Amino acid sequence: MTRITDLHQDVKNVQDTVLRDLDADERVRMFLKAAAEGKEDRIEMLRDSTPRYEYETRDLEFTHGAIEAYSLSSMANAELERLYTAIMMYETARNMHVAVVLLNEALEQLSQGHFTVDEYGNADTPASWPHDYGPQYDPDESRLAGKYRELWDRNDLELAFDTEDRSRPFFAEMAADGLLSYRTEVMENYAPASMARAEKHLIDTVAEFYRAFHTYRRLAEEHLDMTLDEFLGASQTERLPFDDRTGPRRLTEEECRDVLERMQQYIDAYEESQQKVGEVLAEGAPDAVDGLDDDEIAATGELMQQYDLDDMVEADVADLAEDLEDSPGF
Amino acid sequence: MTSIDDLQHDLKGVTDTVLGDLSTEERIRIFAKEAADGNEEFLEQLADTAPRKEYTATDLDYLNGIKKVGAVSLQARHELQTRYQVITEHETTRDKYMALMLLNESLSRLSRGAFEIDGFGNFDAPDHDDTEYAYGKQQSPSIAYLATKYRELWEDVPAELLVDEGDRAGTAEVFPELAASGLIAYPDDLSAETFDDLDDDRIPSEVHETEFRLLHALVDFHTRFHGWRLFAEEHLDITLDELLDISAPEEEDVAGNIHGINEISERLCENTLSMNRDYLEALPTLLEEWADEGENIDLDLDANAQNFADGLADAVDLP
Repeated sequence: MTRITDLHQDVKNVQDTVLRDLDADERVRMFLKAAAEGKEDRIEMLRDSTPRYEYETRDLEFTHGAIEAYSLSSMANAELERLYTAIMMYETARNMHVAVVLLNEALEQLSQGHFTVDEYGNADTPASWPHDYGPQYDPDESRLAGKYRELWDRNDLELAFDTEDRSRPFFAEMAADGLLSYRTEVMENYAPASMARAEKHLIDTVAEFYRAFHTYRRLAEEHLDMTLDEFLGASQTERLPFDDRTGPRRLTEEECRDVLERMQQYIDAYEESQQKVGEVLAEGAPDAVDGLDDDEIAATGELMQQYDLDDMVEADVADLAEDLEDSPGF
Repeated sequence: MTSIDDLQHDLKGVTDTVLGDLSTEERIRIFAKEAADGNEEFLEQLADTAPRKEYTATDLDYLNGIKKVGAVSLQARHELQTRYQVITEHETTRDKYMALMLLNESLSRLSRGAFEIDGFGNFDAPDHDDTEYAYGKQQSPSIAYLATKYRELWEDVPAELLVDEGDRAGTAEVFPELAASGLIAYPDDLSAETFDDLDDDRIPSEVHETEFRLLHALVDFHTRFHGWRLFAEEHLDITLDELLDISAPEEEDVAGNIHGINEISERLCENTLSMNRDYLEALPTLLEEWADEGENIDLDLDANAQNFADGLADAVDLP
């Protein structure tokens, strides 16, 4: 009788034979499927069964080193551009929310108290303002949107594609957005407003950008013996006409430094907030939380009290440099 | 006598000898520098002069294939993520300008005639010397005036910014920036200029311009999103989400945040295009308006996407 282990062995042998017979095309496609589905064991089987050939070819260390250097440069470009555009996006969002709450405040003063918005963004509009957006809209939002529209029309302002059916829903959306800028009342507590959320994202993103920028800059300067601009340039494509309207931005060291200088107060705020969290954690786990290792939390807290972005950069550079040392050709 | 051809041949011989002597490490460093300069010819020479060695190695076609797959996934993720963020930025910029113009109009009404702003964003700001501003003279009088007004209003707003909580004076920097935005939002009046041969006597407002930027960004996004989707489905036989997942960041950081990343997926792309569909729907009419008489502009967004996908398939050249 065949024992189970023998059976396993047989199945494995059959699999190996089948896998060995794949040509490179088929193998790459199977890898693609396996990677897409996150099947690590299948990827391993594919790798182990790949035939080995004898080659006479160009120095493989050079070929792989060149590919490695190129991918590292693409990765740096991808990461810096993604974070840079995110900073622009969150900064504009913060400013937009500030503008809308100012607008609401101005309207409140204009109405001499007939229109009010409280700190949670609950609007109270006078019944005399027209509510003409239809029953699917909240009356306060509809009246506020009508007021925005009236101001806009009276001023002869223009949108690029201004049509009656376009601008109407547009102002309703803006009124709704504007009211979300305030805190949201949740039970007895409150959730941060979208304005504060935009700013929180901005702070986090700026800190992450600082880290990525200095890490790649130092990696290029200290370990690759070139400037950041040269390093990024290695994988940047040629600029086409109208490209700057849609991105990519093809960042330079100067642009990165400019944005970091402009965002200095957020970088400071980030470090401070990490240190504050550290102070709380250093006291140990809060009573309400069971099952957490007190000492571990306190130790993390003590580390976080010293939080310094430049230390993080130092560690990131060391990690990347170590990876580089391990790749062939470096 | 040596002919030019011979001389060039000699020079190439010398370069080849020098390049042939490079160590692997030197060769890679030179490769990275030259790639930055885009010096294709030299890169080729560098590769051709690399020593040839004998190896027994895992099937190189397979290894190169899986490297390409990873790079392609990262490229798709990068292109779509960055462009999604650009679209969101333009949308928000449009809303910001509109809110500021409405705000200026409201302030003008509140001031009971002391502050009248015209359709081009012009108004008579009191001179620096006459008024107590919170801002120094580095700002133009109109920006300083508006910024002061915004800031006064902010004192009464029952909302808060995160960084300056409890310290409202600390937000001072935000207001001149907003005031400047608030003023460039309007169209420019050119009617009094000497260029009387211009067809138009105004430069469209920043709101207008932002909407065009948004439209361009949407067209580009439509092409790339559907292009990458078709490429994944037709050429790789997987979904776009699966392609994007291959290069997904492994884990969140300790605090559970992936900050800058808007997790990009097929659904987010679909939603973005759907939310902004009125721009894309307006496009054919706009193109007709812009076309010179008799010119026939034919823009087929779906065909663009298909071309993009086929172009990718050629460029990537998977085994």
